Amino acid sequence: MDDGSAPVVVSARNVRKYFPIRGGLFSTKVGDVRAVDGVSFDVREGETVGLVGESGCGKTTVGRLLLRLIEPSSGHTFYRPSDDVEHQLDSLYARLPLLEPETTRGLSPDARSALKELDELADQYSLYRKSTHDMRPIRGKLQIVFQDPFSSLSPRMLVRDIIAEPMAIHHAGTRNERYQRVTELMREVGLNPEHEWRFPHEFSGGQRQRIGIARALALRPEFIVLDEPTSALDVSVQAQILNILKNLQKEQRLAYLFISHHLSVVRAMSQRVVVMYLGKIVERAPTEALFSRPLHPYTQALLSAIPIPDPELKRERIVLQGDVPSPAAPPPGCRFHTRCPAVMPVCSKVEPPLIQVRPDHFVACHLYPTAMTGTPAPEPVAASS
Amino acid sequence: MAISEPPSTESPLPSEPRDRAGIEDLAAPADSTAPPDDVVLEVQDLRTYFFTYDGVVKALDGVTFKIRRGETTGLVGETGCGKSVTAFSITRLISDPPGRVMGGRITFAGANLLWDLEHEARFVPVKGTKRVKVKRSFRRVMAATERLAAVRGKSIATIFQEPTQAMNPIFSIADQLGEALLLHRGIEIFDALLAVTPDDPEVPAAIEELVTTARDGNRERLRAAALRVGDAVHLPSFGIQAFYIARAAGTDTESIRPDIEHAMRRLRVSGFQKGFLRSQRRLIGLQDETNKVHMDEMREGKSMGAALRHIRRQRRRERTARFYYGVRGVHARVNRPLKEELFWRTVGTLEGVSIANPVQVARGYPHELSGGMLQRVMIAMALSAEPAILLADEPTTALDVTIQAQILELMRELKHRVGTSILLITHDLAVIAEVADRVCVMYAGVIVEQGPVRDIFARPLHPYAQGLLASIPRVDQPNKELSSIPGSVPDLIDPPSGCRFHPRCPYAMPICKETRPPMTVEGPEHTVACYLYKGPVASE
Amino acid sequence: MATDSSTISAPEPVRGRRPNPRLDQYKRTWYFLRRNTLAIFGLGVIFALVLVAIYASTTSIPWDGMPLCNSTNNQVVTFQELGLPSGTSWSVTMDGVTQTSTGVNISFSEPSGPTYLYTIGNVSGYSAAPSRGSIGVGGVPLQVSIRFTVAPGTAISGRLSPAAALVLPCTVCTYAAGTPSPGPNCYQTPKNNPSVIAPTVSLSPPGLGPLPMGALTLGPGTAYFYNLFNGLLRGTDYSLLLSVSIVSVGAMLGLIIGAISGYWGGVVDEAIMRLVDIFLSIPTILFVIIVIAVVTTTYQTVLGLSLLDTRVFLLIGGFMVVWWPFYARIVRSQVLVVREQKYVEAARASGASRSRIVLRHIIPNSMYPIFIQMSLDVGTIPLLTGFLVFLGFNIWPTPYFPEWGTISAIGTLNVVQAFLGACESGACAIPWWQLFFPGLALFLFAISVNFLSDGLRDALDPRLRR
Repeated sequence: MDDGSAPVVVSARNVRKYFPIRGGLFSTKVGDVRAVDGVSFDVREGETVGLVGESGCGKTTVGRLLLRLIEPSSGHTFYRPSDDVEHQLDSLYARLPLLEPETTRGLSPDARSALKELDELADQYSLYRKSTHDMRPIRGKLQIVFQDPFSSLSPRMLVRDIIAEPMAIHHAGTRNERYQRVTELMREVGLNPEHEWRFPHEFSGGQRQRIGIARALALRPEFIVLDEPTSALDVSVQAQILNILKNLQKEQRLAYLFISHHLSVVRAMSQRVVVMYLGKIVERAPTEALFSRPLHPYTQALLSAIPIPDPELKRERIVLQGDVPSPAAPPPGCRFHTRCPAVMPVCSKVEPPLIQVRPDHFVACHLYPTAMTGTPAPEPVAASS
Repeated sequence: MAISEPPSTESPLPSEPRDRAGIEDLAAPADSTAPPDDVVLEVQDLRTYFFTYDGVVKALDGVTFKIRRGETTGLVGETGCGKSVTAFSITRLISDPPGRVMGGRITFAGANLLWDLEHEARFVPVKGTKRVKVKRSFRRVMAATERLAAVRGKSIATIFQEPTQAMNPIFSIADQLGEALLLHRGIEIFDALLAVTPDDPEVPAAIEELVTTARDGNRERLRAAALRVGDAVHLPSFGIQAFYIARAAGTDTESIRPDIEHAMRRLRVSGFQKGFLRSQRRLIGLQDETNKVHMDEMREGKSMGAALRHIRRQRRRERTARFYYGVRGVHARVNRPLKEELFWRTVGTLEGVSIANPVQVARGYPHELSGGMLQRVMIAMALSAEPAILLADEPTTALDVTIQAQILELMRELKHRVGTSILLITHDLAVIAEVADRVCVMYAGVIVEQGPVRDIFARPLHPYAQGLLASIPRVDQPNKELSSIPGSVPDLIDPPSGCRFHPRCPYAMPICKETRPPMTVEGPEHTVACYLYKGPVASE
Repeated sequence: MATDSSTISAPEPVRGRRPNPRLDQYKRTWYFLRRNTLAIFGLGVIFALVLVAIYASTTSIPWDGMPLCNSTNNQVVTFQELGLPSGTSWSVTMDGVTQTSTGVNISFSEPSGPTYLYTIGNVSGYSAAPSRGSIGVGGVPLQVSIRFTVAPGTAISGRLSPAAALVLPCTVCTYAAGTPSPGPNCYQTPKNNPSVIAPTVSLSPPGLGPLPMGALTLGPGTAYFYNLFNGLLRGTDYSLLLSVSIVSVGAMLGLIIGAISGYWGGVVDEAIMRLVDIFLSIPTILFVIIVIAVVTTTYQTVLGLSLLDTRVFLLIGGFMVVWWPFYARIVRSQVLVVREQKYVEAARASGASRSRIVLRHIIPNSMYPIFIQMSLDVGTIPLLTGFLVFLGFNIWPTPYFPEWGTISAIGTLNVVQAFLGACESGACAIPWWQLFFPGLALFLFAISVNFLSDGLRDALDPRLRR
């Protein structure tokens, strides 16, 4: 999709996750919480993609979907697709103007054949179509570091067992080899290996987070989802952890998906940023471009809302009115229109597609209706339903 | 005061009469016994220790600062530095095993809140370990808790970190806010209810005007007309009720009059109900007297058991007499005027914190509201008592960025309108930069630097403050190197000798290991505790 | 690459040997347990009970019903002399009868009953100690030793040398050592009410009489009395064993089933929970009876043993089948919480199989709530078994087995009957001890387990620990 020299490690295409809401007498389904509604992006080797948004926007769910910790409702994620496959996918998706999850009715024959080819490709390469047996070796390559260092480590296991567990699950090496690697890993993240005989509750928050990182590194992963890794930590500890992460990335050519709602941290860590709101991507751009010239009104509000540690700085604040709407009943048309300071009549009727407006800079907003010349057709997007 | 604007003496205090429900009318806390200068709370050498199995955790080891009227003081530091402990020590909310306020002096409204502290417990070190056994005198600890109840909530209000967990899920918002209002401003409410005049000659005219204005659809005029109705009846919360009745009627203006007539039933208080209200007013008055006696105890430093017993007797008598009105006045008809009054006052209070649909919110329950809304409700509850000081313990940490912006906006606005002093505790320096006037930087249980916000950010003196500012990633400075402070927060059971920061300090000198540096003055109102600076020692 | 050295707040370890963190935890738990007086009391009582159980199971404690002593049974009273040269005649007078003998022993056979006075006849040159006294003749054969000492001033002529005097007692000794003394065969008749025997406690000399907790009768008007104290002693090990085995197996079953139900969710969860509901809606006792009845009617022999011998095991098995649902429910609710924890998710992210997650993560973290329930149940089980006996559903080899539940059932019956009936016929003696002491034993047992488990829970709870 984007120009880049490094190979793609993970590519998410039109991933959706709907959680059913059950109500009524027999817990019948009365609606859906559209947590993730058609999200596409990819992450290359050695780069960090930042995923930002507020609570309820679905970014945590996206992280888990990419690792297949939860099953999607539709869409595909590809692990290390070759360039050929990528091009094929691009052209296939271009032939599909609309992509409703269940219906194939009303599609042109071209679209239907594209769908069939897509299906075949997916059978071969999509993460979600692989059997448990095939997934096993891949699982080690896709890891996650959680937000809460307090609850992400089992309180009744010794630290050495926690770090060795992924290796034990995959029967990697003998017991001795595993524990040797534990020592190695602890040194890599800056922990004293003598402390491996302790329980997690005896460590501070920053150290626990390091244990979590060591655990994620155990199987030599290629892609790590960092789900708000420093939100629960203090500022100075945060800096330490971020430095560790950056160094590891440089050494091992890791790809990161950095999920956070702290834009300042995201700016410091990522090369590209994806902004989500209520399950949809509203803007996707390289970091510099996003922060220096945010296009989507939501991004602008988000950036202006960040408090800056400088009392002298007086700036124009865009304070959004109201609360985030519930993902179970998203507003029709553009989901942001209820809070948007630049709302227009069309916004409540039609959902804006994600269009490339500048080089590598994608926005989904009616304020930018025309794509940059020379770009392929817009990203397929569901009709507002 | 260091910052350019003088304190809220110049901020626009509403000069309208006081009998309006809601926060708009809150004047500056009129504490007649406040000292002539503008220091509202002074903490001197506060020490709080926690006695645990592993030893004695010296969470606070000599903390000294002042809070001035109308000023927002920020208490900043990382996890474990003791900032929350400081706030809770002021109101003695530290859980008593294992924690214990060891010493110091907290002066508030002329009273020492830590009076009689020495007699509450004895300490016996256990040989061979680092543990210390604490022998508490149950009686005295209970007495201290009761004394401080006179201050908590009324003069020193607190808002907590997790708004979704701070409210009782089984009661509606109106119930909880109403309870706070009743507790803190009960006398005012009862007086208003007893002085209501539903049959005032002006009332029909005011209602007519309301109906006419309703046809317009202009909200400001509608509100003004509704408030005039309230004035006519001498009950401002009725004005708010009238406003919502009119708004709900929409285009059907004919229904407004009968609805208001119907609503006026609650104003027609029968003699029986009036008796009940007077009885409740007496009880609350007695509670206020108890609080006053407690404050006097702490002010003069002597125990006034006789006065307290006397009041307790009166309360007992009053409570027994109240049985005439039904057990605890739960009988609905007797209590209804009060409940409805509290409801509409709650609505007014919610309006004051900019909640869009206050009637719905008031009728709702905490689980129906988002974090931002709940935090507003908490702020409303805290401010309903017109406290002199508001302790805000990480009020925006659990909220999203845009919601945080809203809440900070709200707090700034309330600061100007109401003039409460705020002690803002947070680990986010950016929030401090937005809202605070003064900053105290804490590290490992001591304050290492204090000063006006601009000075601290422009010219941080203490190496820890410098390190902290250098390690924050900034949205507006993309290529900043994220430097970190080496090492980690020290163990408070065996804190480093001398200056607690010396193991991590890049400028550590031999003397830093030996004695703790005193606070020295380095600028107007800017003090720092570091041997790098040789200014004059700050006097207390 | 290591960025910074990190210091932790835990106490410093490491002198080359790996510190054992679990040992530290145990020490810490013990410290907190120590501070809880009630828990230590409970621990002490349980320890004492265990010792009693060991003692009771190793030594034989008699549990035989004995009738009251009346005129039809006589007891033997033997007077034994010490210090007289052989062949000297001496005499004892008791109850008007004088017996003389030249041997070492003089025996009387007296009807058991009241106390008798005896006097020793004079032997020249010697003084006897005691020379007179009184003894109560009751259920135990009595032996009184009379020591004759040479009266000062008497010439010893033709007597044996003092050295010989030392030899003589030894021959007496061998005799005494050789014959085992016959056991008691009746209980002394109580003075007030002949049909019950209250606890016998003597104040001078202070001590417990032969029936320190009174006697257990199997129904008023029976002739046979049992020693309640012995019964309780012997019952200790049965009760302890029963409770511990039933509760632990039930808890383990419940733990596993609850964990599976909670973690798998869906249909499995529903099915198991409905099963639990069924089990819980049937009263426990009834269920156990049904289970036992079904088994006994289907199989005549169990494992080659006849049914009579295996009743107890059937009972235990029946209880285990019935006991696990309580635990399954508790564990399931805890599992629902643990399931959502991040470390479970992390294990799944690493590709752990379901069984591994359940075993290594879910079960160890969901165990705590059952401890409380276990402690409550431990006290209930002996009561339930007793109730079964009460209903007539005898599970023990003999009808009047020394076991707490049985004894308390019998005692309750007696008290109730006495209360209802006996009080009209004048002498109103409600045998309160038959109810009180077994109840006290059960109470002590249950409450000490309760205290101990409370204390353990407090000591293990990380939040209460600081």
